Amino acid sequence: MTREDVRLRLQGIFRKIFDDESIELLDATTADDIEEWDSLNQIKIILAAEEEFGHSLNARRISTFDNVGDMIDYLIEVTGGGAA
Amino acid sequence: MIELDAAIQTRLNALPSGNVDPDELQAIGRRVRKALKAAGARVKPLRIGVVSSFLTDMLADALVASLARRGILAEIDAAPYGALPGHLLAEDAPFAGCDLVAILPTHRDLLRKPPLGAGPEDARQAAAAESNFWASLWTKLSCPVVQLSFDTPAARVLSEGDGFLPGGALRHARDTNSLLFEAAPANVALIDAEALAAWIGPAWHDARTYALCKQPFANAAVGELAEALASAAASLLGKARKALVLDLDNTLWGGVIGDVGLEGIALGMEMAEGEAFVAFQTYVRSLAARGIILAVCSKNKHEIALDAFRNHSGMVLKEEDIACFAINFEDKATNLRRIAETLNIGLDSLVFVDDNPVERGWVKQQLPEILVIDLPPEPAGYARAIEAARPFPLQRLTAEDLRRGQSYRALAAQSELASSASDLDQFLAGLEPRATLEPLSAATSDRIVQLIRKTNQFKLNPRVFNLDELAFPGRHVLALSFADRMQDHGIVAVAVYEAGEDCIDVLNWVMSCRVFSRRLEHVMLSELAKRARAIGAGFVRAPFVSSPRNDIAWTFLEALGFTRKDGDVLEVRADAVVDGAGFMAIFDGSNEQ
Repeated sequence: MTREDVRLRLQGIFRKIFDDESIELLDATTADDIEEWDSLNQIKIILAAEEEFGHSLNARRISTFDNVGDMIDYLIEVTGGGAA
Repeated sequence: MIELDAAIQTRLNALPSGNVDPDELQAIGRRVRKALKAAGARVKPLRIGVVSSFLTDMLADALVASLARRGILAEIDAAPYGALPGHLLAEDAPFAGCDLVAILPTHRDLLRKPPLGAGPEDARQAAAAESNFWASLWTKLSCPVVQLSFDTPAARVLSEGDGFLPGGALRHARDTNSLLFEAAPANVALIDAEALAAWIGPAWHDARTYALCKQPFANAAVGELAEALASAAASLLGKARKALVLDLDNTLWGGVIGDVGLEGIALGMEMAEGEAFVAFQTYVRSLAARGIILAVCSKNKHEIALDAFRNHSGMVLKEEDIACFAINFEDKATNLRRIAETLNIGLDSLVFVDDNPVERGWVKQQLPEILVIDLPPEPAGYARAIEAARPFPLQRLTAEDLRRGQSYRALAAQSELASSASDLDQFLAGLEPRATLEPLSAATSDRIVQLIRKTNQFKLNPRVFNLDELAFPGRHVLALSFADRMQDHGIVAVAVYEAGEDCIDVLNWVMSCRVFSRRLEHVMLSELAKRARAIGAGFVRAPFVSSPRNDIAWTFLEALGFTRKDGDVLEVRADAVVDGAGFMAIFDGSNEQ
């Protein structure tokens, strides 16, 4: 699974949760860039990502991330880069 | 329907009838809420109060969409997180101005569980105290309430005893729920949390989501909870559906009856497919028994389709279970409109069941008010597909529910002949019934022997006759064939009698259930009485042996004026017989007088 694969799958989760097909995730994207990205939606993203990538994630660690790039790195780390 | 922009309405209409995607439901709900906010004072949505001991943000979005698809435009007035029961206790008039309030506790809110080792009386008192407390909260509200009952704890500390032993948390939850239901007034609807959790499965208890955001169930459960709440709310707000409209081919039986014929359809316990349709019909019939009106909407030849109701041994549903038939080759939207008119109910009261996705799509498009059930390909899944849509919420069963089928059938019958029929006699007369006395002959004897043998319901006693016994000297056979403008039923009633000293002595009398309620029994008795008078006999007598299967015969005979003479012998005075079938044309094709 390439970094681009992870980015696209994460982008799909964001588009579904925020009901917005125009969302483009970049490494530099932060909660400030998406109007409705609050703590509750953050949890929904985590839960949806767990389902999508088949691994449980550390919510506390995710809350320390600066941007989407950190999240993508973390997903590659926990999935070993080659998970479903 | 409510006023929503086309994009939202399209997404609402595209939702499946059951098992909705919770994410899509929440997304639509958010769109509706935004649209309401933007519309400001132009639209007047209902206000739904929500008070819970868990986080309801995601549920609220889904609930708005679930209500919208039931024609209820609502805004949510949510109490702060965890405000149950405090919010209801602290304020004088909580949720003032709300049209409905949802109270959503969990088993964590049960604070009166008796200790381990408690006795049955302790358990009863604890449940009563618990129920009394929660029921008292309803008195703080002046609007209808949807109350989630207490779910069952995920952990069963007492193992299999948890639901049975006093001191068990599951038992306490169950006892409390039962008492809560008993205490609920008419404007409080309870959601059975235990049944809902069983329906939803493992997603109901989700410790991780609870730890993350105090929502005790996974996102996957949000849709079903919202649907359950919306269904109960719709019922309280007068939006429950009333009638189930059924297709026939591949919906009530397998195959196309117009092609394969009566014998060719898959229906009955002989094979798995036929058995699945029997099970579905049984389910539908049980809905009718609790007051759901049944109607049929099928592209078929009327007589061929009705023949299955009348003559196929595998049919659980009978002609008289159906309040209204629309069997023709017109489009189904037109027929559904007619059904609603005939039954005098709104289109938004109808639920439509059809195996054909093209028909379903057409009806959804033409009549979005109708709930169209998305059936799976396998008939074994039909009943569950209806259950999943929760179309018929119910809290209390009334005498009217149990009688409803009857009265709607009568209504439909009258409306079919609205121009001319003012009473039942006229209705029956309008069918142009003709009864003919048939001789015992080579052409009729097999049928007469068979009818006596095969009839179970209208049959005075178990005695049967072969041809020789029918032709026995001094014995007479009175056979009636029956036809109306719809069809020729052939020979459907037989009486075998001998002339006694002061009576006509009926040895046995049978009538096919196909002609029940057509008054043919009056024709038979009038003929017997006429023959009694002709030989100077004063009575018609008959031995009656009651059994579980022929109860119905006694109902008929009593209505005809028969009384029990002694033991099992019934009698009626020949000159007291009233002809209740004066509207029927009677022909004498026999040579016996």
